[in-house]
Amino acid sequence: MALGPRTGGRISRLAVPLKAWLHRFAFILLMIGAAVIFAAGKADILLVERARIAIVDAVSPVIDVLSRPVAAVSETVRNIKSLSDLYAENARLREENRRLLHWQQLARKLDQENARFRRLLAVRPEPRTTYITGRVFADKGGPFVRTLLVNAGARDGVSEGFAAVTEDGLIGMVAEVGERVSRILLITDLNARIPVVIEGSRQRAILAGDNSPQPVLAFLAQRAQIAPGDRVVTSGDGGVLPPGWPVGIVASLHEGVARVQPFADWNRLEYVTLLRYRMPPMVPLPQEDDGAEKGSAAMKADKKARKP
Amino acid sequence: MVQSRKYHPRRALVSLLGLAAVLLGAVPLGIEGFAPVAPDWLLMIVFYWSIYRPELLPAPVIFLLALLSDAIGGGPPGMSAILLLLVRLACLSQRRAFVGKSLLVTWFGFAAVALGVAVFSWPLASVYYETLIDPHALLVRAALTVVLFPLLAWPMVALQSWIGVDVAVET
Repeated sequence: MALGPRTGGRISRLAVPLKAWLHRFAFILLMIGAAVIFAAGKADILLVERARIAIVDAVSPVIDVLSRPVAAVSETVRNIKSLSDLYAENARLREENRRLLHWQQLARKLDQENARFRRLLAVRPEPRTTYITGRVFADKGGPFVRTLLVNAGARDGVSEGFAAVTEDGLIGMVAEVGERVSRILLITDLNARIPVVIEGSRQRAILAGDNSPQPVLAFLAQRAQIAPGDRVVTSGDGGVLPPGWPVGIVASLHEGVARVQPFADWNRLEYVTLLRYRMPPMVPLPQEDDGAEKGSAAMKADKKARKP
Repeated sequence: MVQSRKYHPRRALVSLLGLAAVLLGAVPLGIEGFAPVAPDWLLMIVFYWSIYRPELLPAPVIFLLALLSDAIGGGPPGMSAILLLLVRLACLSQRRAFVGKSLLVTWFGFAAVALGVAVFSWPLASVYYETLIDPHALLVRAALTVVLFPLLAWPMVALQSWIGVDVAVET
């Protein structure tokens, strides 16, 4: 009992520096942890990617709930805005409708003609494309990436490499898949590489994102005949994306660099459709396990291709 | 007489504020081009509490919030954690310069920190992606973060006084 106060004093004399030391040690450990995670992410370690999407999976219901009122407000704001130019909008739609009816007739005629030619030539039918639609619930990309999170994942049948489209055209590709979420790498992202074709001239190129709003047409032939205003659609090369989906129009040609303005309306990206498209390989590929790995392999190949 | 600190549930509010900032920051606003330059709310929170009450936002909490933020954003994993822990370290060493001064002084300090984070994250991201990242979005984001800092700082001042000082209880 007599030792009580003395022991207490000794403990506090020891405890204070010990606590400070432990704090410092914990801080250093956290710094090392962060650096290790950064390095592991750089090394493309699968575990990091899996952990990352698992974390997003876990918090997605909360963000999903949070995003609904915001979506409702921005929808209302859009509606109020569109109320003001209802008259002009109506006139524009009438004009568009007239033009579209003409196109519809033409499309019907061409469809029949096409079907007849296909029968004559015994063309192998295109693989069927199925659709999964998801709501965009997060778009936190930050300054280095251009991505979206959609509330459709593996349990809905999504796998890596699916094309992500809206009614305007292609917006990106599924890059990571969780149980109920998937991450879409937008066509404007630094790592996005989409095989495309210039509609009129049938020139092939790779649409390479560089984080700017207008991606670049890379690997375009030297004497390619392109001009601003040309439509750019997916070529379907590589068998990952379905061919013929609209991507954008050539916006500018400056010092041999052609930039494409995507058709996508980034302001109203509320729902995104993911296309399940599987092209049967012409030659059986060795060591091919499943579709998901095929998708990621194609993306990695694209990633490698851009390095000189 | 040994004194121990009674844990007050209000103390957890700061960590919850950080969590709310990370989750709400991910919500799409439907404004074209906003996501890349969206202000870094978590940086504001880490800066403020590391200066005024570092014990309310401990380093492990900052680490976890930063990892969550990186996971949702899809950028280089662990990068926010490195940056925000460095911000905490810098704030802890310089807090004497800010405590007791006006919020304007803190704002200037924050501007320096936000610029530092932007400048330091550029080489990190460039190494990660093996290309020279366009620093434009990074700088716009830093500027937006600095401009909007008072918007969050004032409520945080109120929160800090509401949480109050620790209650010491005799045992």
